[in-house]
Amino acid sequence: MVKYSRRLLIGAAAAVALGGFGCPGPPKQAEGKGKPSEVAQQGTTPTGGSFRAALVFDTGGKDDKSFNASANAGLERAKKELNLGEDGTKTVESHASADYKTNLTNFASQKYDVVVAVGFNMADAVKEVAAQFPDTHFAIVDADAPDGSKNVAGLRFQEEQGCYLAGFLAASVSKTHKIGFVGGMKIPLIEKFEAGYKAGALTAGFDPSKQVTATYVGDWDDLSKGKSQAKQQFDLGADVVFQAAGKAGLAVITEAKERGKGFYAIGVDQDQDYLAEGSVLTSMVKHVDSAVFDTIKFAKDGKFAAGNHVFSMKDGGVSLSDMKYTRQAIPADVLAKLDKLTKLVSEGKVRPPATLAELAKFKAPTL
Amino acid sequence: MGSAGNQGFWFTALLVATLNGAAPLLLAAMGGILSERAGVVNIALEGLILSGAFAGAYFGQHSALIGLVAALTVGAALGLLHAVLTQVTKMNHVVSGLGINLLAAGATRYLTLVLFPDGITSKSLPPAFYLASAAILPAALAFVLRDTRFGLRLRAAGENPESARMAGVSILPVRLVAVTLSGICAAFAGTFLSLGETHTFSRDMSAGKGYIALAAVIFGKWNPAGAAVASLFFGLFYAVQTQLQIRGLNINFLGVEWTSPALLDMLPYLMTLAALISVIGRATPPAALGQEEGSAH
Repeated sequence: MVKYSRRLLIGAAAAVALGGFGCPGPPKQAEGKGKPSEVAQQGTTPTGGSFRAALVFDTGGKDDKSFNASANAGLERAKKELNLGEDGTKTVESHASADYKTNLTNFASQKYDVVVAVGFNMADAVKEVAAQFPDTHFAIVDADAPDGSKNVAGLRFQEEQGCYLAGFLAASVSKTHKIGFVGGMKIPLIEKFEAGYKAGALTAGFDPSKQVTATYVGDWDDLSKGKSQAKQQFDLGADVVFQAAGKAGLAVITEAKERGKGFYAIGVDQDQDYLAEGSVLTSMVKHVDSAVFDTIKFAKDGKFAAGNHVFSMKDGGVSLSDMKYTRQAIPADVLAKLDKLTKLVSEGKVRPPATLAELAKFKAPTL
Repeated sequence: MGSAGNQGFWFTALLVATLNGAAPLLLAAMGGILSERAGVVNIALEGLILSGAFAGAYFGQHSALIGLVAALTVGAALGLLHAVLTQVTKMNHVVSGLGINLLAAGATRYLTLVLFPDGITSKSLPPAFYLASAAILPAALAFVLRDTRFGLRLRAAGENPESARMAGVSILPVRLVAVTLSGICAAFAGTFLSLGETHTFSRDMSAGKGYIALAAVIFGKWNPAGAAVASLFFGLFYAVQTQLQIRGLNINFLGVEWTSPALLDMLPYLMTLAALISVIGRATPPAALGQEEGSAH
């Protein structure tokens, strides 16, 4: 028995060693045990007001060509335009929700000036860590700033506005009079996308309960399931499918591309039109990059404002992509109506629903 | 709506989704059977699928065939690693399997960042190729297990290694071969995800399929035919889950949304638990599963 448990222990140690190998893990709590570079960096900061900004990603990673990639682009832009220098920016990806606090604390204790948490899941961790580091500027994307906090900015988006236009466009170009939606997790944030999209379809004359199908993958990683859901929606008559499903959603674009002419996907968060030229009708672009850039810039200029910041179509926070590859295939009258609708939404004359409950009460404008 | 033609579409869509959903589970489950019937617990299926998917996509950028061969090689190597860790160094089977899963998750994540941070596009293999393989493999495996000398030895290694050794069968090579083949099967299942379906690799894209495959092994009572049926059932289940959503059907009862995808995702695991505690028939694992050769008695 003793022998057995010792063996188990060695095995467990080996497993941990194996698992640890090759993982660019979260930076260790810098207490002399960190990697040499981190320790050195700690020793040499902050000399003479060099401004530094860091991003903490959720478990998704910045290679998602979408939400995280956009946030990272904002940081890269800040690095270039605000001359943040070689060590001025840093990112870390969380392996699990247990890492949020460690990652945030790590950057704050290394005296980074701005720490941006990319993803609503980190709201609780931000609240806790921000209270411990009152001199550090924090921001969280897609969540509210904690009540009364003086050093946290909540960066929120009115995604329903962009989704509304996407739904209108999708329904307007659909030849089968059926369109679809593939979401990631069934959470209020993604239901907001569904609600806006369906309202847009309604505005184009669709009956959302019959002519718009919606499914949820259940996570952001399962490309196979995302593809299967897109396939089934296309098979059942939809010819445009909007995805808001992270990496799983990339498979929706693959499926549209494989089906070829007459089938479209709609991209999300970043301009994904280029991923399958001509097969991505448009993308519902959420300018997380601008929000991140602005936050860093304001902090650098001493104009950081705590509290909630809402980015909407009016200020360019959300928009449709330029439709570089598909514009010529869209009828002129549809484009004209889309422009008109964009204006109405920007001016606040049309308020797309942000929840499925609001969708039920939504009255479509006549164009 | 409701026309005969639409009904036909509905059925075809369900069938295609079922087969596509079942194929990777089934292929990996055959790997699970090979390993477990030889007496080696294999929870490494998840990591093997992920590694296979990665190698397939990375080496399949110019030729899907090269990707396939590379993936099977990686699967064989990791399978052999699991076999050596458990049989030669006598590591606990679950710990070794867990180690391989963590290694696969960490290594593919790291390599993705280093080799193709901006994503990757691979060539593709026709899904029909995988569906055909999934149709043939269970029958072939059943035949090997039942009617060949290797199959007899493999089963002996899993049921009663002591007696097998008395009869002059050397267990170690049998288990090494069985677990290596197991790795090949699971990696093949992984290439279906990358080369067959999505033509790319993305972190964690195995998304628990290895564990569901293992559930299919248990639910199928460690028999190729049983595991194949279980895989098809789980595949059907995923397809129905999507169809329910497409049709907007919600079943609310006792304040719970029973048709919620999050809830339905648990069903394969619940069914496996039920099988294990003998609610639906009895699931009896190979007698010497997870035991060291000669240490059990």
